[in-house]
Amino acid sequence: MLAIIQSLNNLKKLSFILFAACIFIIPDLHNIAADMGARRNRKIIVDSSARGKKIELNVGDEIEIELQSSGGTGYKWYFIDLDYGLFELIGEETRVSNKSNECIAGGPIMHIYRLKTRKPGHSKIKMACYRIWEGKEKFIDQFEIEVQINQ
Amino acid sequence: MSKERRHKRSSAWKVISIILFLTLFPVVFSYSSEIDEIRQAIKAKNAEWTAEQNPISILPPEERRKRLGALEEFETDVGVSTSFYAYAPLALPATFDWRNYNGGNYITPVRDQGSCGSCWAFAPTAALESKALLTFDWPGIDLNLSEQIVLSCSGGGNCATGGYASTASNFLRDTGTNLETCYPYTATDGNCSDACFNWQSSVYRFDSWSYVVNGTTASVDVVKNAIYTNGPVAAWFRVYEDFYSYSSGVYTYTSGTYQGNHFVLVVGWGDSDNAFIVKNSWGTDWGESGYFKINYSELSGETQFGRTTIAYGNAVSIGLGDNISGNTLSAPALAWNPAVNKLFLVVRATNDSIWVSTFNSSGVFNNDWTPIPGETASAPALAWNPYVNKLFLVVRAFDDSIWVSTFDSIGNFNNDWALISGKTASTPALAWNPVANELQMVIRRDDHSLWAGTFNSTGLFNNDWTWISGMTPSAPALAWNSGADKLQMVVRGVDDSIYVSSFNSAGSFNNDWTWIPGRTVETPALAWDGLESNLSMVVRAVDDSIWFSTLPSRGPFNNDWVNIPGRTASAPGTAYLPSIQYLAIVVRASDGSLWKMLY
Repeated sequence: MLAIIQSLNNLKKLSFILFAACIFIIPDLHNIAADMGARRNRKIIVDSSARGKKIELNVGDEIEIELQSSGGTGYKWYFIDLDYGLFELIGEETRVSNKSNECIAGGPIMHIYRLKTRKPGHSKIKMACYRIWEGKEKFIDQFEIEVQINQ
Repeated sequence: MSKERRHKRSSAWKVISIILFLTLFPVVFSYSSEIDEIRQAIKAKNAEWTAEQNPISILPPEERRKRLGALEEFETDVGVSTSFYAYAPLALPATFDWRNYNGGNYITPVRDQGSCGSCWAFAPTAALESKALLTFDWPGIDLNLSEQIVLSCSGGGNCATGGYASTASNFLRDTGTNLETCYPYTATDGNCSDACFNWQSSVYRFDSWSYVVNGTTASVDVVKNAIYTNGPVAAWFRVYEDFYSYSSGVYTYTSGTYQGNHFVLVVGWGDSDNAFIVKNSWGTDWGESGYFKINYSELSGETQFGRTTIAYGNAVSIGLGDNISGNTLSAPALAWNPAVNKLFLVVRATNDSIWVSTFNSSGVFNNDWTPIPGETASAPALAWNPYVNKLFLVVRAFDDSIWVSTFDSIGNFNNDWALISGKTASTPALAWNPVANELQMVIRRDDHSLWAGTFNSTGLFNNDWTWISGMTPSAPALAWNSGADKLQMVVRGVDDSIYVSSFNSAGSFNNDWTWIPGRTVETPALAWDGLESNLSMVVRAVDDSIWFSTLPSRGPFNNDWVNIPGRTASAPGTAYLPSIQYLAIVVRASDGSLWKMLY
């Protein structure tokens, strides 16, 4: 019983700390950010038309890579070369491609990969479309861009 | 920024932060535990994939679904059948699998659709293959039908946009599809005009199809009932990323993003696993040799398995392996008559009389049976003599004597029977040698020895019988090999193995006997396929199944045996149809009926 009361007290303390953080720390961080200036992080969307191109980003920018494949075939886009020191994968999702009817079988699927730049540098992002059980050697398509990350 | 404005802004942020805190606190705790539950479920099921927390999986289900783009599905193209399967409850076994039904396999091998979004063509075609095996009782046969014809000709969809299994099913009911060899799969949209000549005249098709469900959650019993009553059913479902990593066990959705919609063939179920058994079209390297099991719970789960499910009626064969009128006691004889562009078929009828009929240049049976004066104790033999523009007919009489007669250039029987010296214990083999300008004949004596004789260019027998090395317990087979300018001979060995030898262009026996892999219990049937530079060979196996292989004009045997649908009770008859570039195969069923296939 004593242990339960102790746990509840601890939970209360944890909740209070989180509550305090929300009230005091978040607004202060916001103020600090506001005081640092008006520079905003950008979000760059690239698709298959950017293949082979070079893009320039700043630290903190997001890059969204949108690549299509035929749904329900087993093929999917995978990173085969990504410098995780420079990029953080912050999201991966799919959406039914504009061309596709939602109920159609085997219709195109847009694969969306969201990356955030971590620090200045220069790197290539390489992706390949293949079946995971067949391996990347049996890719049917490739995508590559060159990225320059500035401070 | 003034102190007052900064204070107001800070107060506003405090209010927003309180709301955020109160909203997010329970959500974060709730979805962490959900991932744990999924991991525990996978572990409990011994499934071979894992659930990893990702940016999507931590969202509430509604948000997750939005991001996956899930809407209400209705797998229906414009103007398709809307008839529904008539469900009549019946007692169902605890396990059922069309791959092992009364010891027979009614499911054809797993195919691979490649990177083309053509599952909507593959699943109905796989269903048609199985329904043909069921309808015609051909267990274990690899009936390989052309998905490419469905993809390129049905209008049901294409590689890039995907398609509708309902439209494909309509196409397979109203038009049907030919064999894979007619238009092999390319994993591209292709062009319907690239299918083989006159492909619509030789097809398998369904007599009907119906939805088991369409756009609603299927019940386990209704799907089982449809499989048990009608055969394998085509089923739609939503594919998620974890499905790609499936290797065995019973699949349930655990994690990963939505990867599109898919159509597959459900071939059975197992109540001990609470799962349906499903044939996929991603090749045999995926899953359990191309198959997977999916938990019944997925009918109402994330994948919405079977939300559209299609059952099929019986298969109908048009021009492929179809019954033609007539009966025979022995193997049928076939030969192409280029003067009238017809394929001649001569058989020994049940009273040993001889009958002739024809196929037109498209391979359609003319059903113009005509009796020929005379009788025969074995299958007749036919060969075209281009020098005199006559079709030669040679038969074995009941006293083993050999008789020859002819059809004129327009196909009328000349009734010019002539006795040839010599005796034969079975049907003679005949083939024209275009270099020596003579008709080569090889017979088998009752001691299994082989003897060769020739007719000259005008058709007179040269009475030049020569013993040639080798023995056979059946009639020999002959065909001209235009790729190597020699007459190829194939015989059945006394141990039922197959041996090949040849005559050179001058008509001398080469004595180059070669054993080739394979077995036959009858005379092999031979025909030269000028386009492929191969000699086509069709044999009857010990279980009456029919097997096809090819001999190249030069070099070693291709050893490409393929089991073709059907059964034969005698040696098959075969001839090349140059007008449509098809091999015509005619066989005799155990009841004496005649069946034709274009291959």
